[in-house]
Amino acid sequence: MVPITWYLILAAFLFSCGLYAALARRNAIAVLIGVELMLNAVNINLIAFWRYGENVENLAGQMFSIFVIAIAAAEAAVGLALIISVYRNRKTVNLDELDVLQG
Amino acid sequence: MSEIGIGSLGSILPEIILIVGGLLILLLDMIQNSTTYQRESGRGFMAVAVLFLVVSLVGALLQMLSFGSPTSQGPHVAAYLVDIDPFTSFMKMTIYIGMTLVAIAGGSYMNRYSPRMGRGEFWSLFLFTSMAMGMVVSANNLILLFLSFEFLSISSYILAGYLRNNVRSSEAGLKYFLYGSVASSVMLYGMSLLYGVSGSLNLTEIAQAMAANTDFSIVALPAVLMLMVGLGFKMTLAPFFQWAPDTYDGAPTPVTAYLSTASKAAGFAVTARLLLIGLGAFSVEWVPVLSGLAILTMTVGNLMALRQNSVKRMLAYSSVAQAGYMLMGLVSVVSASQAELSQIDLASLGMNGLNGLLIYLFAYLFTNIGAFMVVMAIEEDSGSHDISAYRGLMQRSPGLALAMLIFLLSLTGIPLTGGFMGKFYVFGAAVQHQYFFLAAAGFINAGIAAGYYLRVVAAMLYEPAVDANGAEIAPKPLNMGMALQLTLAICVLVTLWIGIYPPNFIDLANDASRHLLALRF
Amino acid sequence: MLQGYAFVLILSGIAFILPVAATFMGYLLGPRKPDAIKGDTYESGVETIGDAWVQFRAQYYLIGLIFLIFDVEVIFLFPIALAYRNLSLFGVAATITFVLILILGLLLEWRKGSLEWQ
Repeated sequence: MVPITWYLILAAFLFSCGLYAALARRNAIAVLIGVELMLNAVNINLIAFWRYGENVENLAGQMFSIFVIAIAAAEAAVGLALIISVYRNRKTVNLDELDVLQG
Repeated sequence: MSEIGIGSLGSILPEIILIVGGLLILLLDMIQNSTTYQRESGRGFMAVAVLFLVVSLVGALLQMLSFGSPTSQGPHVAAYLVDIDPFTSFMKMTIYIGMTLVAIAGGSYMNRYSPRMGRGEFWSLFLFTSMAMGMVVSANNLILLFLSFEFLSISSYILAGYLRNNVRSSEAGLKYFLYGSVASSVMLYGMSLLYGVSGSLNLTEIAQAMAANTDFSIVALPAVLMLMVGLGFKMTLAPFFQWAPDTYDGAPTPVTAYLSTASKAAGFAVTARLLLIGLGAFSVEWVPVLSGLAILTMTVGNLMALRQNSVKRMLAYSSVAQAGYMLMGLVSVVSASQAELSQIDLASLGMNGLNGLLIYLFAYLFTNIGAFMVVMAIEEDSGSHDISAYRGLMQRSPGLALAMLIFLLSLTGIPLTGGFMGKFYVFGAAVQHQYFFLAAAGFINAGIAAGYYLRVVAAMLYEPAVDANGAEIAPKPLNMGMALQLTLAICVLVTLWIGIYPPNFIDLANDASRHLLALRF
Repeated sequence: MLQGYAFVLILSGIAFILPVAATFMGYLLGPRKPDAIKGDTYESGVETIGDAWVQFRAQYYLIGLIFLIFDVEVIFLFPIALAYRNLSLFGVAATITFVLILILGLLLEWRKGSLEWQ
């Protein structure tokens, strides 16, 4: 069996990629993609911890990841809706150009 | 662990009532015929929403009374997922009162400016948000905690961007969403680490597993740091607060009012529960982190607030600074094991830090909701948040000016106001537990804060009213709705009531705090 | 540790080399006489219309979002299906409530006109 470390490294790598995208990209959609990547990295973590944990019968980790998937979908939906509403008002989704509120 | 069944639903009855209310409003919204649909005023929905909020508030109060005093029995764990104890009830009461006040005072504002055909949705979302806050403060399990935390965040994103044709509101919603979703993902990663080392999602079991094996303590610091990103976002702590001024400024004012109070209170309650119960054994790790965040938060918040000309934005930064003071309470918490070590009787300790946090949150809720409602009244009258719009308010509407005066004095922390009582307990706890550096930073910051609060007071009381070009004009009276006047009166009364040291209320907060502190292990 | 997965590595090596080799051989051996028709985009033999970089209307995404939400909510039914034989009356009631709330959401979308193509 593949040791758990590999899964954790994969998850950490994915999480870092997502965090980089979320922090460095100036496009709202790209940030959203980064967030999705981070949430999926957590899912890998949760499933790995569940599978390699002492108590495999207790499905808590799996259930948690199912909830995370659902939340990710809800978040993506609301996020895209907000992005569309900003786009309709401003004709841009570039975060540097969203400067009505500042000071 | 009790079996999940119909009986366990009783303990989350206030939340179920809110869910039913929200769904009912959606249903009512849906079954209208198309002609009334277009002209829906939203007043009926507002009435239904307020009714359900009041009913669930009563439910939460009854729950609190059912514990009796003093509470000796352990937490009432229901359905394995929620913890119904005096702490939970206190927070639920605080939050539901706040949401009810916002609904009564800000309802007509939202009904007026909401997009056409969107009024029913606003009210059902408002109830769902209240439900999520009630749930998040009682969650005892990481799944429910994260689920309700995200529920609260996601519905707040929508409410902040609710005026979708308004450039400011939609931008506020998007900024809130972008910061919030990143922060909560990082927090979730921290949660997965906790699950990994302890093999459980239940906070008490996590604490037991972490205490049983000292090797796990390596994970404690990274997990705390990652959790604090998400929680700090909700509490508007310093490195994660950038969304707050923009969102508070751009969001519809009633939404801002609850975001800066009830939502923040929920954030503090979750943090307290997570750190004290789940990671109580690692207070050596998280106390320095929190005290650093506290000092940074109040300093940054106050310094930024000093240079604002928009009162709404100034209050947004001041709300960041207030979060710093509140965090002091959490830093100087005396846990049960510490009390044992230094042989203090926890029950007789007047300032255990956590009760200061609770009193502060309660007083701040009324003060800040009141202040934002004054901002809303001025905004509806003049369409501006600028400090010049507040000039001559004393001549235009003495009642409104005096109410704002009391709120600002309470935010400053002048004695005989609720804000003073909160600061007294929080600073007292910090001094008592020898966090002198923290207390000193707090005092200096409270001094700085007086500067910008009193600027608004001076404009209201002593400067004549001006028009948009700065020319002096005769003061014209300002009209307010009945609901707004009623809410402001309640806020003023409660702010003053807490200021005169009400023993019953302090006892209530003491009781709630002791329960959480004694709960661990 | 990972020896069991060596064949995956070998297989992916082969899978990578084969198409590269085939393409390279074609490049090396084949005659090259390009003209306008040969260089055209191949689309199942039908003549291509317009540019490949068309902008989709936001409406597609909105409908997609609605689909996504319902699609994902259904995963909650899988654990229930697995525990079907052990489900208590309370569990059944909870499942029905869950589905009813989903249906209410669908009705709301229909009523608000989100499902109509504008």
